[in-house]
Parts: sequence; C-alpha cells; structure tokens
Amino acid sequence: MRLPTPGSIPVLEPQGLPRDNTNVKNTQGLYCIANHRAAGGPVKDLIFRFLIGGVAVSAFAALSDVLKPKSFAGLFGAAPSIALATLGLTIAANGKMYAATEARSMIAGALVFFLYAWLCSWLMLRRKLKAMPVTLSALAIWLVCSISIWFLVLR
Amino acid sequence: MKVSANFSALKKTKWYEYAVRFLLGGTVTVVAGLLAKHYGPVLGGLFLAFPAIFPASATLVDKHERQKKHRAGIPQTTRGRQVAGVDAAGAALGSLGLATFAYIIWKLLPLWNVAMVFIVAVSAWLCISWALWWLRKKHWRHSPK
Repeated sequence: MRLPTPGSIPVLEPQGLPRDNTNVKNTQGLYCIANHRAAGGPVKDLIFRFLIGGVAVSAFAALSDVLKPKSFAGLFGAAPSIALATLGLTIAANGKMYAATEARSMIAGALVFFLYAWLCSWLMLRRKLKAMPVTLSALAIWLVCSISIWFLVLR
Repeated sequence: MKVSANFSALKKTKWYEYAVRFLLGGTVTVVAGLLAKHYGPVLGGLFLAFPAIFPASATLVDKHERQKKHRAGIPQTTRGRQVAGVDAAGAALGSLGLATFAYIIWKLLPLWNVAMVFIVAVSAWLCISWALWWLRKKHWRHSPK
C-alpha cells in the first residue's frame, strides 16, 4: 500500500469532512495503522472499542466508589470515560476534524446529562424514589432529549 | 469538607457488579462508534456523553448503604436513597465539567497536538467540576448526606 506523501491533496473523510494537510502529515503513521486495522475487519475494531470502553468506564467507576464524600465521588459519575476511550480511536481512524465534530455534539449530550442527573437527584431526595428505577427510567429522558436536540438543532 | 479515599470500598463491590459496568461501558462505546459510522459524527458525538457510569454507581451506592445499615441492625433505612441522591447531585456538577471538556476538544483539537489537547481538556473537566462542587458546598444549602 502506497503511503500518502506530506503536502499531497487532502483526503476526503467520511461524511465529506476534509482532512487538513497538517492532519495528513502528522497522522502519516496512524493513517497506515488505521487502514491496516480496517483491513483486519470491522469486528476487530469493534472488539477493541468494547475493551477500551469497558476498561475506561470501570476505572472511573472504581474511582467513584473509593472517593469520599459521595457528593465529590459523584463528579466521577460524569467523567469523560467514553470520550477518552473513543476519541483516540476516532482520531486515528477518521482524523481530528471528525473527532472535533463529535466533541461539538458531546457538549449537547453533556448538558442533557446535567438535566438527567439533576432529575435523578430530585426524584431520589425529594420524591423519595429508589435509585435503580429512577436512574434507569431517566435514561429514556436522556435519549429523547439528546435525539431531539440532534434533530432540531445539530443536524 | 475533606476529600478522602477509602480503598476498602472496592472489596464491597462483587465481581459481577464490576462485570456489569465493564459490559455497559464497552457496549456504549461500541454503540457510539456504530452510530457515528452510520449516521455521522454529529449523532455519534451525543453518545460520548451517555451516562454510562452513573446508573450503576448510584444503584451500588444505594445497595451498599442499605446493607451497611442492615448489618448494624437497622432494617428500614432511607440512607441509601439519600446518598445516591447526593451522588447524583455530584454527577450533575460533573456534567458541566464534561461540557467544558467537550468544548475544549471541539475548539482546540484542530489546532493543537492531540496529547496536549487531551491533557488540557481532562484538567479542565477536573478543575471545573471540583470548583463547582466546592462552591456548592461552601455557599449553598446542604442536602442530607
């Protein structure tokens, strides 16, 4: 496979997002690695993502278990675990502009997370509901709000 | 209020509870990647802020607090729910730090070195979250612990 040379015509990424020349030059090696991995199959990529994501979420969750007081430990319930696991892989596969676009949507997702967590706190503290039904059912609210923002604003 | 770490808390969590978190975290990461692949980075990016850690953590906190009270001979308790509620309030503050993290990635990633952007973004998440938590503790009314 021929390597793209620095300063060559930028390669169009998926969804038509152009990769800037700096990105092509800096990710020379990574571009080759990404293609090799893609050639190995999308299944391998998914397994890799699954493992990285699982480790990242577990690590932050364990940190949340260990820290006191619980109001401080709760900060780690909103840690950027999935983002840290995913963005590195995304940059390697699709480039920095693609990852930056994902991060822009992540802002909206994080604000909806604020709404979700505040609602959970209110339902558990004021309405005296149990943790499991509240946190799981409120996920539906997160999904609906996030998808609505995507449909109405971000799309 | 002083922040501390109690590593013996790790022993209270059963192996299957760790497995559930691992599976959930891995699944959400895969789903985010698949959504981005099929529908584009705008939709996929939303799921980078999916509450993957919080539901399991809050449920475990509730369960462990109730178990602690049962062992102390108190059969009925609201402590677990209250602690989980306080945990959720912390997560709400952390999500504002998460939004800051995402903003920094969005603005600086096209311009700076990747590693530097990640360091700055994670530091910003930690600092903003900690600052908001400290402000809440210092100036607002305390919720039950």
